[in-house]
Amino acid sequence: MKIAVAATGENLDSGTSPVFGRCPYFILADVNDEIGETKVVKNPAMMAGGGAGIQAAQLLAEEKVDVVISGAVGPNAFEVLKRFNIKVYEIQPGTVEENINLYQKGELEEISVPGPENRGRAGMGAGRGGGRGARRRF
Amino acid sequence: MRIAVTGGKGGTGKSTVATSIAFEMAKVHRTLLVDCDVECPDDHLLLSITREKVKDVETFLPSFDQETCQKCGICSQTCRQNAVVFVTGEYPFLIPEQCNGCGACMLACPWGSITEDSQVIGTIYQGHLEVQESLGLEGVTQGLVNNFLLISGEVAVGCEASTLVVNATREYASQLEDDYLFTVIDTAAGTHCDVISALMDTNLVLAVSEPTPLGKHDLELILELLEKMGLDAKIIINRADLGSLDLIKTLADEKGVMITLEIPYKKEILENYSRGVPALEGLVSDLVTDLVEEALQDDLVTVEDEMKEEDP
Repeated sequence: MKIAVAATGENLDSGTSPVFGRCPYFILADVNDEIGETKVVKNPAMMAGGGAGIQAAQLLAEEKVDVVISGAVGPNAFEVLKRFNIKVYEIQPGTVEENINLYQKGELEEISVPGPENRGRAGMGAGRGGGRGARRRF
Repeated sequence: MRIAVTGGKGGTGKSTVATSIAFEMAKVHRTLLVDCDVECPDDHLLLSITREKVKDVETFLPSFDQETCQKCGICSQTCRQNAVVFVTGEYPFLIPEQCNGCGACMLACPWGSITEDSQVIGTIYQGHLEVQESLGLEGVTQGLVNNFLLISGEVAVGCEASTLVVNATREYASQLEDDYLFTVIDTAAGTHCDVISALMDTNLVLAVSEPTPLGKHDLELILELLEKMGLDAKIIINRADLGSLDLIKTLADEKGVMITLEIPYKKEILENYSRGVPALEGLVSDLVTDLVEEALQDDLVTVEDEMKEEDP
């Protein structure tokens, strides 16, 4: 099975990222009983103007990932992952490897409902008007 | 003549000023009030108006034909919104909430597999003032009712393309403008695209702020935007007797923008507001007289227009 973990760095020792669409890297690992081959993918959606989560989810579907370990996934990205039968598990603080091990032991929780939109955008507060200009592109 | 009411900061009294000015103008002149704060239009609430739907605002939505689709993925690569999902070997599909209706995917598809569909992204409403004696609103005569029309745009819940709704609201209002001497446009807070669309092609902008550090900060942003857009601005200070008036006065001097009205913090204003009647009744009459005079001077409104109005 292929597991993708949202990460802040490029290897198994890297820290985990609390955001999905705009995390810097995804670490992809072939996992059976143990962690086999791994691959790092730089997330092209990190700097996307809009729809970052969708683009990141599309990337993971292209990589034929079975499971994503990540922080909150927004509704649009969640829809894409669901469409490709990719399951989402809630990430824990720590390293990528630690999270894969936790998943293997069945200690990560499956996320079955999407989180709020636009969580990963810098400066996107709950306040009305905050940072909206950056998001609209008309 | 088109007058926009904006201000940068939220909650400074833009809608309060816009509704009161439009109401005051309509006592004498045919006036259109256009609520372009499409994410939460509330001018109708401030004037106790029951809105009726005029029409839906629709935008382009791509429709994918699987019979002719060659699964090349160009549609997905073209989409700047990342609204078209494509994975090798699969048919592309759309996340409609993310689509802004630009149509680039349809133009880019080499196979002609994308055709035009539409989705509703908002609604345009209109509403008239009502003679409501129960509200104790003495000023509403039949003449005023006839002179006044509210146009109000509202974006659909969850839709991101709010600026398209502002544009559609403006466009609809512009078709009616021949019958009205003044158009008062109420904008959203901020300096984003919705606000810019609401401000475009206006003759005068009233920037409403309050004498607080945040009010000053956001006023500065909107004044800079207005300067960039080449629009004439005047400042209205709300709650002028609270906070520090010098904050705004210094900024106004720096920018060379006139402060045209100072609204005090008064209980009656809040009482009017809570009753759904023009909150600044009596406080904006001089301002409106000046605006009308200036409009005449600058030929933004002609004497013929006024004559036409008196003899419809």
